[in-house]
Amino acid sequence: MMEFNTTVPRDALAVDAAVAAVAEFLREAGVAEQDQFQAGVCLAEALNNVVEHGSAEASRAPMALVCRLEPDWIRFEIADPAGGPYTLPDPDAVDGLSEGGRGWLIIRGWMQQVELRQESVGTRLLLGMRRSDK
Amino acid sequence: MALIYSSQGDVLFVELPTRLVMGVAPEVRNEIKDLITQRSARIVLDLREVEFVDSSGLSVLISTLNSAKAVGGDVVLLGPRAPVRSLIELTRLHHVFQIFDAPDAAAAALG
Repeated sequence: MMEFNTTVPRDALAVDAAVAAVAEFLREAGVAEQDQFQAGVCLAEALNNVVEHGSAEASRAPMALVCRLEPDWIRFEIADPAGGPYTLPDPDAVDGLSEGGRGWLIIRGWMQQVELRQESVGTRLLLGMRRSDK
Repeated sequence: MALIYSSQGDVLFVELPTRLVMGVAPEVRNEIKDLITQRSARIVLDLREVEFVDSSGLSVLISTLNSAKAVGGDVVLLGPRAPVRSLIELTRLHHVFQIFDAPDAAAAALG
């Protein structure tokens, strides 16, 4: 198993930099291009969701990101120390021409594991995608 | 961000950036809206150089379509790479947009 760890400040450009770094980690490990892309998009959606919907008073608290590359799986763990109690939205609640709401549709479509845990402090989101090249 | 665009008759080709993500989406959306107002509402969104796109990037496509249709125009997509196309299909946007591999075919669809 290989692992990549980083912290992610709460802004969109920092999210994109983190996603690009994870993609490079996966590329160097020999993960198929399509899997790199799918994992990267889902990671971006999860991190952007925190940036968009995080509370203002928590705006300085970075997220902690772990990417684990297993023989058959790509897994992400995103710890948000300021994450409040919330439920995962309904991915089907989006129509064709609405401009938003597709993030969870994407995550539900490409990730086989989606689990949100309420921690004693904040939340921890667990995502897992089965590798197509294995 | 200054988008690169070109014209073929009344059709405007707009090249989208390599990473079409939340950090750049608002700026790209606004620039395209200005192009629709100032130049043409018949738009080919050129995705050939786009390597990575998230749902905010997809919202730029939808926003462009809504803005163009509001003034009688239309939008088609050109040349998404296989991973980007897979995202378009996952989000069912291939039912919303016509997608072409060749620039001439894309322009003809708007003619």
